[in-house]
Amino acid sequence: MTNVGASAGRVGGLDRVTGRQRYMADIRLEDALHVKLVTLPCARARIVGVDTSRAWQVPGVRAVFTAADLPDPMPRYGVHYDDRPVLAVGETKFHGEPVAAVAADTLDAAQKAAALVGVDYEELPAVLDVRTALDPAAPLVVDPELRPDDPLAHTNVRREFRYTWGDPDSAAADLVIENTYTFPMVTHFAIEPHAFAVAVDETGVTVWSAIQHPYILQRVMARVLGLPWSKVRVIAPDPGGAFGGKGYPKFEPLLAYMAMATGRPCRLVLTLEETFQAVRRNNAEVRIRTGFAADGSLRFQDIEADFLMGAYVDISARVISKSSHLAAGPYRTPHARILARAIHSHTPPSTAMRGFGTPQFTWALEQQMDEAARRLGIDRLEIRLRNLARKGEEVVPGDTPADGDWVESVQKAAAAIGWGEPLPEGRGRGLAVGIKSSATAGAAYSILRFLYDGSVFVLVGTSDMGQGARTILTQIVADELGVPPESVNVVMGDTAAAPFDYSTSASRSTVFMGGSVLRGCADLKDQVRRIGARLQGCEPDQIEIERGIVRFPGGEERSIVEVVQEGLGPVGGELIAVGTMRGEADPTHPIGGRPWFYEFNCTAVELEVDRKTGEVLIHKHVTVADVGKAINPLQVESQDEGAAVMGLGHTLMEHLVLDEHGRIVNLGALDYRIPTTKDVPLQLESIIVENGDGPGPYGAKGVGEGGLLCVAAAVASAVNEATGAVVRDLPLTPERIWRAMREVTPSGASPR
Amino acid sequence: MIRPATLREAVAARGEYRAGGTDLLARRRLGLHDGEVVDLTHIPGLAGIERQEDGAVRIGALTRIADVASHPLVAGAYPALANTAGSLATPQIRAVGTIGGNLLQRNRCPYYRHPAFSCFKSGGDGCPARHGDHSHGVIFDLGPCVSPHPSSIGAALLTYEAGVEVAGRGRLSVADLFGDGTDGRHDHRLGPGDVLVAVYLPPPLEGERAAYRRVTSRALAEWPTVEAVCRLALDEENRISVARVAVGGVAPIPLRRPEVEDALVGVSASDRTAIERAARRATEGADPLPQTSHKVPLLEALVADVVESAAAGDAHTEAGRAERGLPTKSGRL
Ligand SMILES: Cc1cc2nc3c(=O)[nH]c(=O)nc-3n(C[C@H](O)[C@H](O)[C@H](O)COP(=O)(O)OP(=O)(O)OC[C@H]3O[C@@H](n4cnc5c(N)ncnc54)[C@H](O)[C@@H]3O)c2cc1C
Ligand code: SF4
Repeated sequence: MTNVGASAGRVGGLDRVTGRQRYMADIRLEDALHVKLVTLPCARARIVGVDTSRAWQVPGVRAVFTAADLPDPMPRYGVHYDDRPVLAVGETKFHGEPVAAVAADTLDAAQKAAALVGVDYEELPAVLDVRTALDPAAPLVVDPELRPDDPLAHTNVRREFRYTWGDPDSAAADLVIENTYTFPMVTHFAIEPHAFAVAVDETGVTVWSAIQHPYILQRVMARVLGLPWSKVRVIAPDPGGAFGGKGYPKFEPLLAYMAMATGRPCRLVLTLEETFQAVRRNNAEVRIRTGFAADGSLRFQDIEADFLMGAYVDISARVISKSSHLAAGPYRTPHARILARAIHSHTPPSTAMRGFGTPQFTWALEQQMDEAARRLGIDRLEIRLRNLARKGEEVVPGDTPADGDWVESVQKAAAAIGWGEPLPEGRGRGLAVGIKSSATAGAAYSILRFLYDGSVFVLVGTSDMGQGARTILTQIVADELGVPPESVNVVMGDTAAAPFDYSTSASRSTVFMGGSVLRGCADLKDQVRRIGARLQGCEPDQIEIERGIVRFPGGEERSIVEVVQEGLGPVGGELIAVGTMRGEADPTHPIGGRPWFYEFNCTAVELEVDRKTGEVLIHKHVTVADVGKAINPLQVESQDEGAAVMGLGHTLMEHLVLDEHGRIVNLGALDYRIPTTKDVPLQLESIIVENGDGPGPYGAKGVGEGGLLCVAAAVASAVNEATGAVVRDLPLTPERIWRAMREVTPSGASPR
Repeated sequence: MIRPATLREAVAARGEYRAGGTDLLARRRLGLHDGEVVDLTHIPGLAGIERQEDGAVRIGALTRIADVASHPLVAGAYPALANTAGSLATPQIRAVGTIGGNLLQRNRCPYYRHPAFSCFKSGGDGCPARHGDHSHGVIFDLGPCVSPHPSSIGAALLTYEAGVEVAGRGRLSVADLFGDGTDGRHDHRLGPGDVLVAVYLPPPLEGERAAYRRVTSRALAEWPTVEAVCRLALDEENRISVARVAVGGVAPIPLRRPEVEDALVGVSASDRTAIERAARRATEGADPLPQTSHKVPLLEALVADVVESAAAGDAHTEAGRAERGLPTKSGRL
């Protein structure tokens, strides 16, 4: 079965898991130089001098680059702010920021030489947490001269986002709950490390990068190098996992300068340790005051959130503005005030990561709901049902209203987890909800080439990083044109071949690129109708096309290929169709446009806490996603299961530990713990709600992030039921749970 | 890489020995070792498990951990060793790593393995963990290094009073192999040219029973926060006549707890209160660091648990736990 709605096998899936897929690091360019970065053992330092003489003596070294080898002033780049220097200039801003780079014939030589670059530096005090960053006496991470006309330039705050509706100050409430929640620094941990290569010749610059948004990289490279976009070709091999971490440019500009200087292609594959230092998720502190009426209905939210985004903005300002706009969650909130700060620090830059700022807010918001339920004596499920926005009701005034039957999702989760049924000794259940805004504005173009033999090239700018975009697009084309999926070839990852796509992010590709391809198929069918009309002497709109069969007015049926071949005649040729899907920007909207859909999720768990050790064993984990239409149910389930397990990471074990010099102490796969196959819940169930109410093809909405949004809150809720312990900081390590249990029963680990 | 074909050549070769390589090669990748490597895997007779004439069992140093876990001679007579071997690391590591390499592996402290730090163990002179993140650290602060010893098998062998044979040096007790924990620079007391040849397990006592349990922050691929091994013999009245208790994750060496052993002797195997009282002595002399105080009651609880399991005859602790309806990690498989 390959049609839309069937669980078609993953296109390229076998190659991916057998290692046959060529990842970025597998791509060998003839004559390429290997690059190694030179970094300092601390976050912030004044660079006094760099001595490259010993590095040059290593045989095979072709370039040793420092800031002095780059244009003055130092070129800076970024997706929204041109704030990131190609190499550190004057001062390093985070541990891992390169001050120099070596290019050599072999990786060995590059590594040897990099170790011999002598950097004379003076370590400076670094800003590593929210409190220090906001201290008026704190050092400034960003030189105010780089922030002209910015009233916040003399603070470490880059942006403040404020949203208010109703009148939160005078809203009456029977119960007001105020708490602070923290969400840790975590990293994406895609299995494939970041890898890049750049070659320069008379046709322009070619950049290879395992990147989610090749067109953004193309634009940034063109801008840094002063080239027309047409002279920058980005080749983006399918990434081996990305999760947001491979969205934006990293070391590609540096490699371009090194390639220009040496006349040879330059490649750089980061180690796992360097990948850890490259990007991460925003850690956050969320202070939240929530007012409830005695019956549990929400009166107001007063939310103040500090996001520590690190040395450079990357996409974080957008992460924070967008997620904070929806910080009040999927509820009817009559009054709200939201303030979110995007704060600089001397830590690796934060970027997008699955959930895009929403998990940080959901963690806080859902625990407030639980506490209200406890204090008002209302069931935790009941308080959510009471407040959830019903379809068509607004969650944020003036914004996209609730676009799904969220109550249905919650009831399905509750039923699947056995809500209200008697609990075995020592266990607890928890349930939480979350919504995330989808993409707002953006455009997706596709080109469909219907070849003479009836096979189809689909040229798109989407990146398939494991989420299965190739499969979905193949299914749509096969279904619409009635061709076998094996004869559909989805070509991705080359800005010289495929037309513009805004990004592969925000769970948008099925909706946007799927919609674009669907329109391309419609264009193609129009062309076939016009050919048929010419051949048969009728009007195009008298011809029907369904699943590859062309039905003429007289009832005669022929296949599309036959019609196309006859129409093209002996000279041959092909049909070329274009699909376009655009969401126009709305400058009057606080986040630049209304979300096209919401990703709504309800997660419920049943778990057991070992009272002696604080260890958590999740017996059952249910994740329910309202997806509109599951074009490929298996892929929906895989996405939700993957998101659920990834969510268990920051819930139970993941966090980056920094030392006082700003270095990540737990660098690498052993000391930074992500869930293993044995940490997966004993039972993991993914439920799909389909009401065909999304804006994508066949009523689809995006999926893939929802399953992660409220895992932490659901688990904390269950831990609370099992033990009475309340934990407001993640991750919920055995130690933390154990300590929190002791606060409930100060006598300590109670006997069994 | 040097590939000696005989033990004698191996003793003469200069470099660091490689058995399964799971620890050594990881350190090489991190730049902690760049000297010569002496591969022991081509020397005949270093792997294998057999019963000796005197009833003892000999395990060759190059025997894979997975084989230690599953061999009938070990699983039958030394169940806590089998269970320890079968619980550590990952199936992949157990299939490659050896019992000798496990005992002699270097410390897992993140600072020691971090390219940006130097410490006693990496040849420097300081311990950044003591003033930094030591949440995985010791509660028995015996020397300058505060990272727990990484060998789980070391703790199990202590309860079996095992010995090791070192080429040219004869037999050593396992306790002697690790020393007293005051040497912050080394993880064991073998030097260059010292090839570990075999581990010897004395014949089991009549009707002895044993158990192993670990607490971890994730279910797989993890050194334990705390681990405990217990081996008991009971008299006809079901009282404990011999007790051996060793713990890991809490000291710079695998640590035997004679205080608990003494307190257990004479206690009825079903007297939970007395067992818990004895288990509390597991932390006598503990001196936790600021971030490890939670390990103190954890160790007491875990020792009580493992003694109860052994007393109840749950040779394979996890299976025994499952029978008693307690959470198990292997239930996840
Ligand atoms: C994810 C992970 C989790 C782990 N969890 C645990 C755990 O919970 N408990 C635990 O105990 N271990 C754990 N380990 C460690 C693992 O057990 C060791 O890596 C393994 O036992 C080492 O054996 P090897 O044969 O590969 O040693 P090698 O890497 O070959 O050698 C290790 C050291 O021992 C020396 N050596 C080895 N054999 C001899 C010999 N015969 N004579 C002299 N010197 C020798 C080597 O020179 C080297 O210094 C874990 C490892 C990983 C990767
Ligand atoms: S605890 Fe030991 S290994 Fe870790 S930094 Fe200190 S001395 Fe080094």
